[in-house]
Amino acid sequence: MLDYVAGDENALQTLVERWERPVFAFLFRMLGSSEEAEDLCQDTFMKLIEAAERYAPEGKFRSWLFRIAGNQARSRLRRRKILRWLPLTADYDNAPAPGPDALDVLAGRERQRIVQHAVARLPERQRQALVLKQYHDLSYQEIADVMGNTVSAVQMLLHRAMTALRKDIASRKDES
Amino acid sequence: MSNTKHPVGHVLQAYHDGELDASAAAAVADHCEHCAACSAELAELEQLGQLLASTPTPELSRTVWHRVRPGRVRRSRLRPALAFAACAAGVIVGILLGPIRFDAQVTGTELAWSETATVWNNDATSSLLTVYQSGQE
Repeated sequence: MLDYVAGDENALQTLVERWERPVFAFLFRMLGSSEEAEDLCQDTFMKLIEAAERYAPEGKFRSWLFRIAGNQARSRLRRRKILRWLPLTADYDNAPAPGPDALDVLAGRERQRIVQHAVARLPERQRQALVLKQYHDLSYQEIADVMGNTVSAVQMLLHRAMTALRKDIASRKDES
Repeated sequence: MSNTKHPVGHVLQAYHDGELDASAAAAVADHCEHCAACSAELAELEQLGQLLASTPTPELSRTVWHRVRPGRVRRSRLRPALAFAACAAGVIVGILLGPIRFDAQVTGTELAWSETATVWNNDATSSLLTVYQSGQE
């Protein structure tokens, strides 16, 4: 990032190519739509370029980047009016099937679908903390930096998220 | 069962995530070694973590770089510009139509229309008046 601020455009290309997939994956898990995630991924990097001059190197770069992406996701969710809304047929339902055995594949896909919908039903901030921890391996301190929270607040958010997920997944399994 | 107190849920979670300092982590580890309930809880956290990790993420359909590199026309900068242009056009149309509607409501006579036509003697309003007047007849 500092190289780009110093005028090296190749550094920016390297940076975008290094981070576009993680940012897209984060946005996809926040929004449940790959099309919206792609749009906002692009917007996130545009914001990053616009804000490059204000980048403060004392913090971790990925915390800064995920904060920008998180703001994008949050404003999109607000625009949807209902924060926990997701399309009935979210893109989760079209995920590619792994593995060779058909029954295992079906069971696996059903399990994945249940988990993804349970994540999507979490309150927005719990979901954000969970996604940053589970899928991007950010430390509690980094998540706190991204979300503008304290470490202990992040700890509680994650605990609540995991508890809610366990209950939700267990109830869906009982239904099916 | 361990005779030490059970760690509360968020502490066990932090232990699982490797976020406790060394002494707190050692205390939780010691407790879990002797407590079936807490070690089962830890196992569940581990299982849930694996379940979450097993969910796939779709691939980006196209790379972001070619769309955001400096010097390109940027869609998200165009959108506000287009929205502004649309608003400006709306305001202009509103200004043009406002007096016509006002006159029509207040007087409702052909005289008012002819006066308005004199004031707004340009192509756009003329054609509007023609349409309206033919409708009146």
